[in-house]
Amino acid sequence: MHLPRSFYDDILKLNDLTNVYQRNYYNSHFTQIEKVFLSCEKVLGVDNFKFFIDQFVRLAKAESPNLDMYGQDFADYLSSRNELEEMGYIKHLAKLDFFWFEQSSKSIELPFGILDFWGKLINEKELSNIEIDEDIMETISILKDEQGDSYLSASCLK
Amino acid sequence: MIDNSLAGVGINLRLDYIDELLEKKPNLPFVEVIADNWLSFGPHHKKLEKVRELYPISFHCVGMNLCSDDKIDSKYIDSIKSLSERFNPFQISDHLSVQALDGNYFHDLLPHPFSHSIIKSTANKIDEIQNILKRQILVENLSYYHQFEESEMKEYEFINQLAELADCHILFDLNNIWVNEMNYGICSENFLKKINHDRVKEIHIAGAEIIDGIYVDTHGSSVNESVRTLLKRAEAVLGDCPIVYERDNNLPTFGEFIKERVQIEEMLYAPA
Repeated sequence: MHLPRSFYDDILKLNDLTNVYQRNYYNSHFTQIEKVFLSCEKVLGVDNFKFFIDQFVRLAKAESPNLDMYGQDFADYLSSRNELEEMGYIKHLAKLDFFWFEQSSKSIELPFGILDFWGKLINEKELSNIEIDEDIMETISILKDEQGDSYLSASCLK
Repeated sequence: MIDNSLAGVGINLRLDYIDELLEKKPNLPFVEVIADNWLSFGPHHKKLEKVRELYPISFHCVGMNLCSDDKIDSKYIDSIKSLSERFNPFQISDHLSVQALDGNYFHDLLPHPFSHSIIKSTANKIDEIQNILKRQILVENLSYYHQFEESEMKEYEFINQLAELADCHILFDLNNIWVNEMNYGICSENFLKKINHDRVKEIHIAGAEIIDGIYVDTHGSSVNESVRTLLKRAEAVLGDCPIVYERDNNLPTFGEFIKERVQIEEMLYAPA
C-alpha cells in the first residue's frame, strides 16, 4: 500500500462538506440520485426526497466506475425506511425510475398499476383511479415509436 | 504515433456541441473527447464516426486510476482498446490521480503524495496499460486542493521521474499548474522550466473560478490572461504541440466557444 488511507477514507465519511473533495463527492452523487428518481420526488415531495437522498449518499458507497449506476440500490433503501412503511409502492416506483433512466433493453416485472401510477406522477396527471395489485405482475419493456422515441409498455402475467 | 502536424488549438468536444460541430464543420486541427462517455455502444457512435471523418480525434480518459493502489481495471482498459481500434485516436491520455481505492469509486480526480513508491507502482500500471493498448499514453498533471505530508519531492520531479521510468508522455495542463500556484504559491514558470520538455506531447488550457476563496479548475470560464501568457511561454520552449481548450461548465454558445479558440490561436501565433 502506497497511499495514506486516512485522506481517502475521510472523503467517504462526508463529515465536513466544507472540504472540497467531500463536497464534490456529496454533490455529484446527490445530483445523480435527484436526476434519476423522478417519480419518487413527486410522491415524497422535494424536502423529504432530499432528506432520503442525503441519508443514502452518506450510507451507500459507489461501487461502479460508471456514475450512472449509482442508485441501483436506492429502491431497496427506500423500502427499508420505517418512515415509508405505509408506502410499499415506493420501492416499485423507484425501480421503474431507474429502469427508465437506464433505458435497459431488458424488461422488468412490477405489480399491476405501478406503470400507470408512475406515468401519472411523471406527467403530473390527476392521481385518481390508481389501483395497485401486488398479486398481478406486469412485464414492462421499453419500446420505440415511429419517431424513434422511447416509451414504456406493459403486458400482464398472473 | 504522436503527430506534431496536429499542432494548434483543438477543443474538448462535449456531447452538447456535437450536432453543431457536424453542421458547421469549423476549421480545427483536431478534437478531443472523454473516451469514457463513448464506451457503451449506441446510435451516438454514428455521430462520433462522422466527427472522425472530419477531424483527428484524441482520447482523454478518466478511468485508468493510475496512482491508486487498486489493480488496473482490465475490463475498462479493454474497452478503451476496442474504442481506439474503432476510432483510431492519435493519442490517449489520462490523469495522474486516484479515481477509486479499495473498490470504492470517488467519481473525482483525487491527488496523491509525490513519493518514490508511488512512482514505482504507477509506472508498473502504465507499463501494463501501454502493453495492452500497444502505444504510449500521456499522463496529465492535476490541480489539487490538498497537499500531502508524505510527499518526498516536487510535483515536476515526480512527473519527470515517472515518465522516464514508464516511458510514457506528458499532457501538461497549464491551468492546473496556475491554479496550484494561486492556491499554494508553487511557481508555474519554474514548473514550465523544469518539466521534461521532450516528453510533453499535449497541452491543456482552461478557465478557473474562485469558489469559497479557493481557485478551482472548473473549466467554467474563459482562459485567464495569466494562463494565456503561460501558454505563449510554453509554446516557445515546447515547440509545436497539440493544445486543447477545455470548457465543461457555464457553457457558452458553440459559436462563442469556437471564437475564443480562434482568439487563443491568434494570440499564440502572433509575431512577438
